[in-house]
Amino acid sequence: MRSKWIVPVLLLGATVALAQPQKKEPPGLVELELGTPAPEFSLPGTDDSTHTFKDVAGEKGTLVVFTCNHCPYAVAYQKRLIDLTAKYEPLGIKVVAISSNDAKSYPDDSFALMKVRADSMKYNFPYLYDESQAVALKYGPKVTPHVFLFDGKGILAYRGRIDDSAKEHEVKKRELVEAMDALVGGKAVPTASTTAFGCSVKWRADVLAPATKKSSS
Amino acid sequence: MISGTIGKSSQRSRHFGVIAVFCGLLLSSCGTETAPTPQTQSTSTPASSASNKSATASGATVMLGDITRVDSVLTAAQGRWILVNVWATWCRPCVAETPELVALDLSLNERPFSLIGISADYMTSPTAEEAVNKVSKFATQYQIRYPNVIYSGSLDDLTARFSLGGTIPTTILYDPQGKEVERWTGRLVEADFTRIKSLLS
Repeated sequence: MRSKWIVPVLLLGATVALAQPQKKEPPGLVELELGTPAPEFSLPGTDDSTHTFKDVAGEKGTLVVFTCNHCPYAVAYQKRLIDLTAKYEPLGIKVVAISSNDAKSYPDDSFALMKVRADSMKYNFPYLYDESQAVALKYGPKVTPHVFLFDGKGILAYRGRIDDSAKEHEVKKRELVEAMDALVGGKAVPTASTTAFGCSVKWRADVLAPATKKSSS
Repeated sequence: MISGTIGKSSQRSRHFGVIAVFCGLLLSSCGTETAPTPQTQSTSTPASSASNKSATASGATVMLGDITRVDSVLTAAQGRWILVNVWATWCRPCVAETPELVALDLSLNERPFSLIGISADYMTSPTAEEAVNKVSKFATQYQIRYPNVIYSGSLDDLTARFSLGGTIPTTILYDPQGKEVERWTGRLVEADFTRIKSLLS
């Protein structure tokens, strides 16, 4: 009796999902677990060279920031990322930013405009383009900006937000800075996980598509 | 009409600053209530709820405020179904779902139902005035009739109150007892609106 409904329901589900791909996350997307090694990547940077995690890794730690051009919440953190890089790179922590957003639906996030941004804002860290979103699928960022801080051995020590306010003068809690200070000082990270707030990562339709098949079956 | 609203808003935002600081001192107590209908603390700020609202041309109330303000709006809707929509004017999926939210609000006019917007615009605006102006203009343009709180308080209070995962839009439906029934992250689609209506019927 019920079986005759299955096909129409599946088709309806597929149609809705195709029409609104931004609604869902890719299947099985998980924010990288604390204590796990950094997933390797090899991505083009706005400096026209290819960067791997090994290349960008710092002696005391490595900060991987998923961000993008268009999101005002991410833009609000640009200056702080530049300041963090200037302060912590001499202390042994390197910073790398990755944009994984689908430039097809968000043209401001195109590689060409990433280059413009990196130049105009004088980014002092590599800004990499994860066009296929394969790297985002490994790290599991939910939003931009979403940070993953690895220790000197490349093990995830902190993940989540940069701090508790997009308005720099209203910041009260700086969990990322505390974590970076802990890594520099060889101490335990006080708060290892926070909820990142911001714009959702803009997933590609073809990255979301498998979700439709899996969740319907 | 709009400029009148803007003028009022900028005057009022000076009060907001004072209130925000005042509530900042109370944050530890503000953040510990359970979502979505806190019982008492809104009674401590009756003056603020009376004097800091601005009405848009479409009749929507746009308010700047922290968790105390959010709680007072939730308290005012106590005993009804409540749909909380966390959004921002700069968030494209949020903008895309707005006409349908407005239509939903209209269609459930006769029901014990309140739609409440929580805007993240303050967080990314240089000034409170700018955030109020943006949201007020948007509310007029989209003919929003439901109240909107432009959130200016601590992020931790907001994420704690609604157990937010960090992504906007997030939309949460509470039953008249204040219990969460369902939540949606990302743009609401037609099936979600159908679901909301069916849950309410």
